[in-house]
Amino acid sequence: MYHPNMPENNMEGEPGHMVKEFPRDISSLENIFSFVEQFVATNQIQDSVLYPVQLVVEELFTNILKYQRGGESNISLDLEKTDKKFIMRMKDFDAEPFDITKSREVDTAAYIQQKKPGGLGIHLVKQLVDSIEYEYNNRISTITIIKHLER
Amino acid sequence: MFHVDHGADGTIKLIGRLDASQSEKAKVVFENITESITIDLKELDYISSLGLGILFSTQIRLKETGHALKLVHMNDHIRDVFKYTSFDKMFEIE
Repeated sequence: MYHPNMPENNMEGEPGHMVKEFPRDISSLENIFSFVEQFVATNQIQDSVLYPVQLVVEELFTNILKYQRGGESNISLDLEKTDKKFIMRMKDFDAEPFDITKSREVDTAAYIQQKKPGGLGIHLVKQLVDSIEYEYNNRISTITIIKHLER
Repeated sequence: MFHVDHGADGTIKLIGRLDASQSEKAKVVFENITESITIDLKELDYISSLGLGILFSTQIRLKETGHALKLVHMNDHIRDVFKYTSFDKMFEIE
């Protein structure tokens, strides 16, 4: 699906800001991980950030695959490093409204008792980032997460 | 990539990255576990919620028959994930 926000070569940005689109498929995960790894290495971000950021990106991406099955667009991943922050924006250009910031809080003790580990992915995302925001406009959903960096 | 090795000492070794695209491989192995066993995570670099769910379901099923998974050699990142999900209370971890 064409949308005007992305260049035709599917990737743009300066070293401290990179954007890339990925097909809406589980097979994209390997390339998504490589993209994040490349960004972290290029920007000399501490290694300890790589695992939580890859985990957050995977959980958000697979959440789209699970709950936005009717969507046809690619998913874009926008990574930015500022002096003290790592910022990731994930955009779905063909989404129904689904505000993950309003998902119910997971009671980990309860799910162990009930023997059903529901909502683990989003719970983990909320634990691993410093802030998470959701915007929805004209079928475009944008999830923005911020992780503070050690200096 | 992710794969599973069966150690000569009877342990199961998880190796590589257990992400959502690899979870079916793990599911097949864990569905066939029926007795207490040690899972060696020394070479497991990464696990996400689907992999955690497989460990969780296996542990619940085994405990119903008096058995359990024991997890050894977990790296610090994975240990954090277990803590954030309270899974550290469900497993014997060394």
